[in-house]
Amino acid sequence: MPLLTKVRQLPVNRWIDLALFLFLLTFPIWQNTYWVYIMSGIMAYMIFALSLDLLWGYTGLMSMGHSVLFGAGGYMIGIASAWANQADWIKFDQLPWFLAILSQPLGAFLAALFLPGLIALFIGLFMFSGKIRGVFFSLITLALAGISELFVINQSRYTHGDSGITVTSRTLFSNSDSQRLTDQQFYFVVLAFLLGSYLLCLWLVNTRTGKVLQGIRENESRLTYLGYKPAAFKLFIFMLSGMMAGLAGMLFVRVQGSINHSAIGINLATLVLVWVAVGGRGNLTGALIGTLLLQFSETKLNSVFSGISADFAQYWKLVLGLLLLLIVFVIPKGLIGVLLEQQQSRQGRDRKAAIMRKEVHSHDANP
Amino acid sequence: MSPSMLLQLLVSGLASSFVLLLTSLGLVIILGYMKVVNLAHTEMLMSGAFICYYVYQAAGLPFIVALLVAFAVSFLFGALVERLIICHFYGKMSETLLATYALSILLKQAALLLLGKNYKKVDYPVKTVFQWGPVYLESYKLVVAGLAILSLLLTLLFIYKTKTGRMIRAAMQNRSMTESLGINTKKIDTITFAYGMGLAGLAGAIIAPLSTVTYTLGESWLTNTFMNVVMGGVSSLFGTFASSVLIQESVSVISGLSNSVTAQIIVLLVVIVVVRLKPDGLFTAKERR
Amino acid sequence: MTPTHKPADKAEAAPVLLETRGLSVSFNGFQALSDISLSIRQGELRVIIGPNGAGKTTFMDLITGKAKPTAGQVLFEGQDITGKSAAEIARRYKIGRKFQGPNVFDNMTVAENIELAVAGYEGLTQSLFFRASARFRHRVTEILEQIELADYRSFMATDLSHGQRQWLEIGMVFAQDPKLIILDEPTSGMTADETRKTGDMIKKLKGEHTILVVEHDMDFVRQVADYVTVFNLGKRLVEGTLEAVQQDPEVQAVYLKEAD
Ligand SMILES: Nc1ncnc2c1ncn2[C@@H]1O[C@H](COP(=O)(O)OP(=O)(O)O)[C@@H](O)[C@H]1O
Ligand SMILES: [Mg+2]
Repeated sequence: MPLLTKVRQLPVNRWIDLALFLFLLTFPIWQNTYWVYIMSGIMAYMIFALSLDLLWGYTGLMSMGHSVLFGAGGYMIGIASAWANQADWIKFDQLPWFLAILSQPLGAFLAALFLPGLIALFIGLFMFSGKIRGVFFSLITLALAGISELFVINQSRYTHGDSGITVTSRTLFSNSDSQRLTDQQFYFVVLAFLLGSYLLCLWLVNTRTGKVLQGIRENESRLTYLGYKPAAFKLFIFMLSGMMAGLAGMLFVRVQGSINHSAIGINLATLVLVWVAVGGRGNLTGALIGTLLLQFSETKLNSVFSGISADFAQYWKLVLGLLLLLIVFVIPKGLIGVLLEQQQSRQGRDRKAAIMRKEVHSHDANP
Repeated sequence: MSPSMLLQLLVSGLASSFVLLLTSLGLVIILGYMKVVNLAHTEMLMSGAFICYYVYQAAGLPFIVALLVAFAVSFLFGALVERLIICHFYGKMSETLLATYALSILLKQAALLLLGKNYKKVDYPVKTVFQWGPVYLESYKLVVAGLAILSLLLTLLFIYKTKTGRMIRAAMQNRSMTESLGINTKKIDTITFAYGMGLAGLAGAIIAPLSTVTYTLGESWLTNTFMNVVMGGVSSLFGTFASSVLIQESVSVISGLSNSVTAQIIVLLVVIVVVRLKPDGLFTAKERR
Repeated sequence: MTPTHKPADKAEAAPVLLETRGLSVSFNGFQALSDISLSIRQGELRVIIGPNGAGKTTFMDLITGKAKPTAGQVLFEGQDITGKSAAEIARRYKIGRKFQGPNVFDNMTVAENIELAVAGYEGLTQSLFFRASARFRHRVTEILEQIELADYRSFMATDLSHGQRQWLEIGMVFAQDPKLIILDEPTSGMTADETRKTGDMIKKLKGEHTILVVEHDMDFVRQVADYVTVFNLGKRLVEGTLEAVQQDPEVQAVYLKEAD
C-alpha cells in the first residue's frame, strides 16, 4: 500500500522520462541509419539542455551564454582530431603547451570535460564573489558567448577560423581517423551518457544540495540568514553544469563530424534557452522533451519542405520565435510545467479536502 | 606607433564613440527607466537602417526624412510592442528576456525573408573628407557625432524638461506613489518604451551609411551596446556617453597595436571586469538635479 | 512585585546573551539609529515596541549582519560580532531571524522550507551526502506540529494563507535551533485567533530560549511580554515592565501623537 501511494504520488513527468528512455532505447531498432544519426545529435543536445536546466531551472541562474562551455568541449575534440590526423590547414609542428594534453590518449576526452569546468570555475568565482546576479548574470554570460565566438574565429591557427574543423573520427577516446564506430554503436554511447547525466541530475536535485539550489532560485538572501553561503553552491552547480555542457559538446562534435564558431556563439546559447523554455524548466523532463520536440520537428520538417523552399531553416527560426512568444504568453511554465501544475493542483485539492474532513471529524468528536 | 598614427586612431575612436553612444541610447532609456532588458533593441537598429535604405537610397527622399520616418515607425512599433507584449511581463526577468528575444528573432527573420540576404549600401549624405595634417575624417562622421549629441541633448530635455519626462522619472522612482497622484503609469510605460525603440530606429538610420545594411546588422551590435550600457550604469545617460568614449577609444588604440577583433575581445573582457568591480556602473555619480 | 514577574526576576541572574553598545547607523546622512545600548539576558523574552520608522527593523538588521553600523558594537556571548556576515552570524553564533512580512521559499513545499532551515548541514559536501535520519524527520514533524502546519507539509508555501506563511517562517527560525530568536512583527496580517495562537507558540519557548520580538499588536504584547523596550526616532526611549512603560508620559506622548 505505501509503495502504491508512493507510485501514485510520483510526479507525472517521471513517467514521461521513463517512456522517453524506452523510446530512445528502441529507436535504432525501427529507424534507419540517418535518423539514428540525427537522434544521436539530438541526445547530445539533450545533455546540454539538462545542464542548463540545473543552472536556470533549478538555481535561477539564467545563463545566456551556456554555449561557451558546450563549444569549449567541442573545440577540444575538434583540435585534437585535426592534430591527430594532421588536417591540411594545420601550420604548426607542435601543439602549444596549453593544448599538449590533446595529443595524449584520453587527453581530448578529459580536456573536453574539465576545460569547460575550469572555465565555469573562473567565470563563477569572478561573478559570484561580486554582486553580479539576476539580469546582469544573463547579460554578461551573453556577452561572453559573443566574445567567445569572436575569439575562436580570430584564433584560426588552432580553430581554422570561420570554416571550422572537420572531425572524422567517431569514438569516445581516440582521435584517429582509422577508428570509427558505426552510427548505431555511437548512438548507444551517447544514450548511455544521456542516461547517466539524467540520473546524476535526478539524484542531485533531490539531495539537500538540490533543495539549497532551489532555495537560491526562490530567495537567495533568505538562505544566508539560515547560515548558507549561496556563492559556494552556485559555483558548484555552475561547474557541474559546465562539465555536462562540455560533455554534450564533445559528443555532439563526434556525432556531427564537425565544429565551427556557431557552436560556441550566441545562436546556440539562445537556442538552448528556447528548448528549455518550451519544454518547461526546473523539472528535467522539460529540458529533454523541449529539445527532442523542437530539434526533431526541425529535421523532419526540413526533409519535407527543403524541396519546396531553400529557405526552410529561416522559416523555421521564424516559427521558433512565434512559438517562444506563444509559450511565454500562454504557458510560461512550459509544456511539462503545465502537466505538473495540473497534477499539483489536483493533489492540493485532495489534501485540502482531507484537512476539511479531519476538521469536521474532530469537531464532531468533541463538540 | 607614430604620434600621427595615434592621433588618427584617437580621432576615429572618438568618431566611433558617438556611434556607440547613439546605438546605446534607446537601450539605456528602456533599461534605466523601465528595468526592462530589451533584447530586440539591436534588431530595431537593423530595422532603422533598412528604413533609411528604402526611404533615402531607394526612394531618393532627403536624408532627414529618412531619419524622421525611421524614428516615427520605430516609435509606433515600440508603442505597439509595449501594449501587446512587454506590459505583461513587468517584474518577470526570465519572461521579459524570452519575449524580447522572441521579438528579435521575428524582426531578424522577417527582414531576411522579406528583404533578402543581399547587402545594401547607403551612400554618405555628405561626401567630403577632412584632412588635418596626417589625420583624415569623413565629414559624415562629424555629422553622426553632431546627431549623437543632439539625440542625447534632446533626450535629456525630454526627460528633464517636459511634463512627460518628469512623469517618467517619477514612475521610475516610485510607481505606486506616482499612480496615487492620478498619473496613468501605463501610458508612461508605453511612451518610455516607444521612445527607446524610436531612438534605436533613429540610430539605425543614422549609422546606415557607415554599415553594410543587412539582416545581421543587429546582432553585430548586441554585445557592444549591452556591455556599454551596463558599464555606464544602467540609468545614467552621461555614464553611457562616458563609457562609449572609453570603450571605443580603447578599441581603436588597441587595434592599432594588434587587430580590431583582438582589441574588441580585450576591451569587452576589461568591461566585464569593471562591471564586476563596480556593479552599479563606472559613472554613477548623480546626474544633474 | 507581583508573582507574574517571577520569570523576569530569574532572568536577572542569568548571564547576558546579547549586548549592543552605542549602536548607530545612518543611510545617506539620515540617522536611522543613534546610540542604542541594550542588553538581553539568557532565557529572556524581550519585546521592542515603537511607532513605524522608529528603527526597530534596522536594529535587527545590525544584529543579524544585514547592515553594518556606522558606530558601536554588537556583542554576542561576549564576542564581538559587529560587521560579520549574515551567514556566519546565523551559522556560527546561532542567531535566527524571522523577517517582517513572510520571507520564505515560495515554490517549495512547507516541509522543504523547514528541512532547509534545520541547522547543522549548511556546507556543500554535508548537504550533498545528507540523508534524513529518523531523528531529523521527527524534528521536522515536531516543528510542523508546533506551528500548526502538520497537515500542510506537502503544500507549496505560496499556497498557504498569509498567517500560515508567517508561521512557516517562525517554524524555520525554530528549526535553526538558535541561541537567540529574533522575530520582526510575527503577527502582522494575522487574524485575532491566529495572533493568539502565535502568542501561545512563543510563550511555550519562554525560559528555554532567548527571544527578541518586535510587535505592534498590543494584545499580543500583553500576552507574551514581561519586559519591554520602546524605540522612537532611532533612539531607545524607555525600558521596563509593560505596566511601567505604559505609565511613562514620554511613551504616552509618542503613542498619542501616532493616534492623531
Ligand atoms: N537600507 C536603508 N536605506 C535607507 N533608509 C533606510 C534603510 N533601512 C531603513 N531605513 C530608514 O530607517 C528608518 C527606520 O526604518 P525601520 O527600521 O524599518 O523602522 P521600523 O521597523 O521601526 O518600522 C526608516 O525611516 C527607513 O526609511
Ligand atoms: Mg519594521
